[in-house]
Amino acid sequence: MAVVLAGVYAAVAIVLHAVWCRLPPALPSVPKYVMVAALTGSILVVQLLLTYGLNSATLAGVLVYGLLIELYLFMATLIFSSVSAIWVRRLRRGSARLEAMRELYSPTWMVNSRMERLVSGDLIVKTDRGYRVTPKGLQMIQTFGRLRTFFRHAPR
Amino acid sequence: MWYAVYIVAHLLLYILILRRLIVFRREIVIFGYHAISFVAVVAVVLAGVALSWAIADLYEAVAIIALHAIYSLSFLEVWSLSEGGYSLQIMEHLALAERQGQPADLEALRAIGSAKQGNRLDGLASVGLVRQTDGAVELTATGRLVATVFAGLAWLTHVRDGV
Repeated sequence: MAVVLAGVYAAVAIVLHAVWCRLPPALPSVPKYVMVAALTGSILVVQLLLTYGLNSATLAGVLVYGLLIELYLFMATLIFSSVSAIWVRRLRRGSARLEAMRELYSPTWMVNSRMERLVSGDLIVKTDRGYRVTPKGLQMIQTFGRLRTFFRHAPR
Repeated sequence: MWYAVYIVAHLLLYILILRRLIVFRREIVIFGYHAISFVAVVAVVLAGVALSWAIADLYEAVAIIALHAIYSLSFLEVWSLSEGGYSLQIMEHLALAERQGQPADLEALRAIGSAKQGNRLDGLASVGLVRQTDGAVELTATGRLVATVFAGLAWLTHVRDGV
């Protein structure tokens, strides 16, 4: 039952997020999702503790909720950031000429759409002299630079 | 608590030894490292539940499987993002251009995009989501199923990218 409850709470978080995405203020989708998921998750933890106490049922419920929330976040970010996912969504409307697809979702479109998203996330800003990375963006570059060293990825 | 110890040991093995091996810089190897561990853990905990038939053991099994899934998914996401996210590459390019006092070379960024575009189409075909016939590209039956799920997610998250 605790696991079913976790599934229900995760579904509630997804529905609340879907509603909030259609309402102001115009925050990016991911912060809205994190806030909704944290709030819903907190209520779930309280309910599980009151119902089952501190035991394996509560632990299972909390971890299943965490997994469902993470999976949805992973999938949701994938559909608007992954070129592959965008191609799959476009092809749902019907087959397309390869050249037309390449033209429609050209490298220029890829760069521009990413730049727009980076601007909306306050990671880069448009100035008179072109785009500039914000302090928040520089911090992100540093963090991922450390991670790249940690994982021993090839340097760029 | 053996499962928590196991997951810490799995992570430590990677940190202390495996990440120094060249072979562990390959995506397929790092994915396999997590996938094999996940499948093994699922098999062990399900065998335990089958032997005991206790509800507490079932909850524990679910908790262990969920914990491993969260750990592996988070690890693989961070590993993949730090390897070469396109947005990250754009930001690094802009920051480097600014340090050098030069305008950003958008052509170089487009070249990265062009390479990614070619790789992705091959990738989609290799996993059976699309097929190419006479210069046209279309979804396979599996691809249509995946596309429907993606369209549902796009509706839920109110994505307005015109796709």
